[in-house]
Amino acid sequence: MKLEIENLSVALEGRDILRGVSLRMEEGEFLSLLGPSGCGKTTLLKTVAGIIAPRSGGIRLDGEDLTGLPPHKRGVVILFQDIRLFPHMTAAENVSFPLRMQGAGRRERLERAEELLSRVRLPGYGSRRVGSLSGGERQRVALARALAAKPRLLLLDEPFSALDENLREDMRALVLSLHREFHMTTVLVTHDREEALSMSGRVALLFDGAVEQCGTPREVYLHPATRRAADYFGGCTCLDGEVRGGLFHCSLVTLPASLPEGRYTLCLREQMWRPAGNGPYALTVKEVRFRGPETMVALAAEDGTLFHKRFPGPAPFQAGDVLRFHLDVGDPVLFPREEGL
Amino acid sequence: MRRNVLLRLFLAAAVLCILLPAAVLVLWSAAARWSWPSLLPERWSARTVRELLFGSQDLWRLLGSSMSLGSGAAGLSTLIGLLTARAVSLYDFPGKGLVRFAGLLPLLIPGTVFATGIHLVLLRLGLADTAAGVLLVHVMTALPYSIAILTDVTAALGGALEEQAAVLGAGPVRAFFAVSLPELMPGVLSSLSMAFILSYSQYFTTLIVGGGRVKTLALVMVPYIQGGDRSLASVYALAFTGSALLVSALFEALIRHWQKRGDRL
Repeated sequence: MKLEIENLSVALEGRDILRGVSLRMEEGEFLSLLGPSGCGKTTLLKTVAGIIAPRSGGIRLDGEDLTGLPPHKRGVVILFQDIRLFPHMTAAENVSFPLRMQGAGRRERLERAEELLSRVRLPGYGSRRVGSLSGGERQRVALARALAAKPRLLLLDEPFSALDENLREDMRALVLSLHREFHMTTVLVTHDREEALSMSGRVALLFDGAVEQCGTPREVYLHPATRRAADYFGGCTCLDGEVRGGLFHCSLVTLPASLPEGRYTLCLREQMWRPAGNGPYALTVKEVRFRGPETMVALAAEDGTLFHKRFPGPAPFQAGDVLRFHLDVGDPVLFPREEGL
Repeated sequence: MRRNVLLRLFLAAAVLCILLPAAVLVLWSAAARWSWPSLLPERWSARTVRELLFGSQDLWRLLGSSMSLGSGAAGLSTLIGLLTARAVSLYDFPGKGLVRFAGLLPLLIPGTVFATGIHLVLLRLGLADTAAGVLLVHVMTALPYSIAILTDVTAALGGALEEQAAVLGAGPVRAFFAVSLPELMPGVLSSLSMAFILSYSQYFTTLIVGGGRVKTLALVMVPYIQGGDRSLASVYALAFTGSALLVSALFEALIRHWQKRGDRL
């Protein structure tokens, strides 16, 4: 279903949580809502589902205004972070709960529950008590239950954060394959950048209750709209400089930039540094941290600016080594300088 | 191992504290003559049982009125307690603290003061000397306990499961019955039993508000205890305790049955 959120504002206990959020989603789209904790992601989901009443703004699903509808009539299902299986019911009873609410017969409910449990790779788990399931199994039962409701819009509230790292990858793959199969419009709330970039068709960055940027993962990562957006993905260093006569100048580089003259900030990502024996930049190793599959190395330029770069495997460097690099800026990311930052 | 021994000792002590006095009651109710220093009664008799069953008081009517009063008070007090608990723990409204405090107020006022005051009010309302008036007063006596018990369990459960049920298509009433109530059942059972036993054992309020027209087992039993006929007092005490236990067991059985039937698949 097509979701349109327009200028949505929410205040809780007198505090503004959402300030004029607007988002549009096409039928069958998978969008990640990415942002630091406390930015209003969960509040946005709950408002769309009807659990929290907005102060102003509109929510439409396929053109239908949802704002006056109670949660149970919206067809919007949230898969909560804390799973929320009904503890006195079995797995199958949990999964068939939405069907019971829709008035389906007993036989149909049982069949559908078994079928959905198989889809989430829990065949034969129907009669299991919730208490006897592991964390990953519970999450999958909750997912099957959400699918059983045939939601017009599926909202996933950090569904993987409570799982072990190795289970998380499994669940992500499962969610993506179910999304391809059922093709329902899905919003994934997360604060995990890689998760958002790797799973979704589009990413919406939410900071302080407002959408900072919304676009494909590549757009959001490669062309951050603001310095905050750039910083959020990490691994970037910002250099202050200015544009004069079609060139951006800063202490490290001079680049062509077709921008009006003024003070700008250049955002450098770690992968722009390419090690090369004859490179023009000499950077001094300040710190080496081995992290298993990669090594994080802190490097200082001559003017003292610090960069962080990851090297695959155990990089053979020590503090004090001088390494030479090329700098491939490519399409430079420049922001007008934000004062006070 | 050590803990286990301690636990057993404690259990044995607790059982002794309950069973020993109960055994004394059994002995006393069957004793025709039991003087110091005999360890056991010297002569036995079934006089008290005859008096209890066929004596001046109609036992079955007494049991009937006490049990219906108690069950009614338990049901009402639990219902009001549940609604209050939900209001206080799941919603925000002005005067919430006052409601919470007012719910516990009857605990703070001495029973005699409360009974005299409420009697005056009920006189004006035309409810004095009626079963309805007594029921009302019993509910008010039990309510603080029901509210306290149910507020705890409601607050512990929170509204999360109902939120989940709502987004899965359950209306508010259905969400409560299908999802929250089964989780609240242990608290509901405690509240029912507590309220029942409070109502069942009310003496003073029943006497004042019922004006002697509303008769309960407790009301009839107390004069026997005060009158010094130990055997008769004992047999009434046994009837009282036994019937109260029976009703508690009945509540539990009903709830077990309801949980089993559930609204399952």
